Amino acid sequence: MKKFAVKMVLMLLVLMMAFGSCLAEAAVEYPVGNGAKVTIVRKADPDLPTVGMTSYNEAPGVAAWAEQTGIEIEVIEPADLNALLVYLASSDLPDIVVMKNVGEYPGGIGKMVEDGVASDLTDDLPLYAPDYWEYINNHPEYLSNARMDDGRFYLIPSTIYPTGSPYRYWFGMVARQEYLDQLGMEFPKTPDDLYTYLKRCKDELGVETPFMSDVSRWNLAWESGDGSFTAPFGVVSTGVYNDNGTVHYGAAEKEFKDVLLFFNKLYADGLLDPNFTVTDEAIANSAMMSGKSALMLTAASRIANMMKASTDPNFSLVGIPPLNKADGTEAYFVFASTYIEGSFCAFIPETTTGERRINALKLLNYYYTDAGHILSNYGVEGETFDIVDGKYVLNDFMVNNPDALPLDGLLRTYALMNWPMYYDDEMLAQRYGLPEQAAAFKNWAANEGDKYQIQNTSILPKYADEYAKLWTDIKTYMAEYRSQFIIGAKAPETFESEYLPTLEKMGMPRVLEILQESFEAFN
Amino acid sequence: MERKTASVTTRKLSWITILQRDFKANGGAYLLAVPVIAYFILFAYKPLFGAIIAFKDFSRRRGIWGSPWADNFGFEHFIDFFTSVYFERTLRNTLTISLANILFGFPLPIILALLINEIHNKKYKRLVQTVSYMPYFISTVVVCSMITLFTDEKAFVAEIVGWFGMDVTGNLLNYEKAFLPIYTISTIWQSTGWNSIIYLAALSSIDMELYEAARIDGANRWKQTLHVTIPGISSTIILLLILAVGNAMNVGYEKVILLYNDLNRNSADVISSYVYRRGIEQADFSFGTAVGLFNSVINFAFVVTANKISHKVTGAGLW
Repeated sequence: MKKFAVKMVLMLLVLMMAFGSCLAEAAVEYPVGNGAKVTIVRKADPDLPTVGMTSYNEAPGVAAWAEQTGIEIEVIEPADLNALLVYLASSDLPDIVVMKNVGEYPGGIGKMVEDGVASDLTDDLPLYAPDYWEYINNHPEYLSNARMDDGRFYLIPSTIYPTGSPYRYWFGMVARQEYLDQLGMEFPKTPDDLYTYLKRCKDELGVETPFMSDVSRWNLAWESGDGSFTAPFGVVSTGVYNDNGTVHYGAAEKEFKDVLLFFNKLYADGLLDPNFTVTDEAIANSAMMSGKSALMLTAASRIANMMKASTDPNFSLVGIPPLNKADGTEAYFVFASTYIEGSFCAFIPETTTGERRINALKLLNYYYTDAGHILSNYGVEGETFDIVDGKYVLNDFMVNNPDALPLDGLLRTYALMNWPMYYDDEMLAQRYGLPEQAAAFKNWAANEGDKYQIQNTSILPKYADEYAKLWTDIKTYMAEYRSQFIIGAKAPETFESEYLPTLEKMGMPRVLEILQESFEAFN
Repeated sequence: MERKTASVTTRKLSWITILQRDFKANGGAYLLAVPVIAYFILFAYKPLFGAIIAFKDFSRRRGIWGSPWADNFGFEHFIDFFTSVYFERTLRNTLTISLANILFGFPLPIILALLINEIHNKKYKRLVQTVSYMPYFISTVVVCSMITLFTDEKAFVAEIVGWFGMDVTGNLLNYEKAFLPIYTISTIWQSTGWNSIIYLAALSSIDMELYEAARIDGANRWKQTLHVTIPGISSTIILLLILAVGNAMNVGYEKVILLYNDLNRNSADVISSYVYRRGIEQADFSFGTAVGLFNSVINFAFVVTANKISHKVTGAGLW
């Protein structure tokens, strides 16, 4: 009798487990088709006008997403980050919030949860987003970005790069290939080479402002941690990095002075754009195309935009690897996306409950199904891609658009590139299809970035407020000092007598402590 | 004892009676006042209670009442502002910009109004007025991009500055010292015409007989202006000056944010732009409110002081 009871209990347990796992693995059926509607808020995408659209509600990709999932979608697009934050603070929350996981919401994910903008998804994911759940659990290398330090899941991440993908390195220095040829130079390897290139461009080729970048890319290089030109001076990057388990901030290191001195020299000799704090992208790109400048910091996608827009048959761009020391020591680092880029993570507010919550999760889960993966990367078969020899190939409408619309804009609207999706390396190879782009990726990826890059830069929620307060002021000060040093308004010796002591007074040591502790908790 | 109570009730009763009688007689006027009173209650007094978040750690989810009180007996955000590294600089810049605007921007509309008043050709007068109002209606964003264009090293402003021996590289806006003149001069250009309207209205109310009397006494145009026109609008001038002083701490952030950059922020950053960065960009609403409240208190003190001084010196004031 006793044995029988034990057997029964065991049997029941097995049954329950089988049944339970069956429930957990139950695939979501698409189209859902219960007349559901899901509202999504995200900041407006500045690239949509390049393909003649003003809203994601007009995008064929979003329409296909809605049709294939059977869920009606309404996208609300505040103009920029500030407008989005004001929207989140003052309106009824939508079903899904799409924003960056780190650095956009003041106070980070911890504050989002406290404010009800995000909620704990750990129990819902296996039930209503099983494909995502399976994907993330099969890719432990992405887990540090997908969950919080307490092991709970609050978001569905976005734009995940395949591990080992060179396409994470999409940013760096770009020069004019034909100028290098005319001057009989190889591409610059050391700061001295770079200086010579710029100087000769100005003196011999009459290039007016040899080094000109648009302010957003310029700031990215100085503030988001780029190492394109810092390595020769003994600094890994301008921003935060990890050296053997210790967190550093490049712009707060002693050696950073030499980086600034180099730029001060460029400025003093008239090689650097004097309006570097305001120059916008249109100005910088057209200067590059018209021969008014010869070097810029930019993104790989912009190489293609400029190559296509230029009417000069000799016009050719080349991505320059990060600068080295004169002895040829390997460069450390260039700016790169982390494996999970995180700009378009999906959060579900706590006000999204019941059926709406289930629909929202099913909608997001679609990106991790096979059909959704193809839709998000390539768009709709026959319209934007064809299957050739079993491979997905973007068609001419996308790659050589008859109206000369840029591919990046088309991928955002006809496919679903800027959503919580994961990248297909094959698609990225086609996205960056120009030989100049392939070369740029090869050059930019030539560094030891993986050793220094911090995959998850989240701040522990308990420090979020303190960190935000300190960091807002420090960031402003760093930007001001840096710019004034470059134009020579601050004398070199003020770096030791003013800059470093002020940073210390403003709480930089405390910021590093917080970064260190957060780094250990998240990575 | 009994008497006292009685007298109080009589007074109370009499007040209510007065009101009742008045209401019966002028009911329509009370009815007309209702929207105005409602406006002030809804948009001026009700939001005052929201200022309480200056003393709390406001969180959207918990709401105004549910949010916990801030540290240091609720004064955490004030202390935070006063001890901030940018407190001194933003206060300094705010007061400098305000002072420059009052010093140079205040007398100009008066002068313009006096000049327009002297024009007797009606068509020409209207033309001058319209042209001088025009800049007021251009959006700040447009004005600021115009300024950025005009101050470029190749544009005319930089050229004019060049005559005085200042060599401009890049943009004049990149120079810390140039920000105050650029800001003040452009503000004057924007607002002088508009601000002269109120003086023109005051001028039209001066009794013509006074001019006639002055002329009979042998006063020329200049003497007439000095002894009839200016005394005639002096109360308006004083009123507007007191109001301008009362706004000393409110330098709007829109124009500053559109014009400042890393190079000139040291002389351009004002309290409101700092609040924008901390309060809006970092969503620190409590901090923003605390600074706003601080500004209002200082402004209030300025108005009271200016009014007192005005009473002493000219014998007239706001109240």
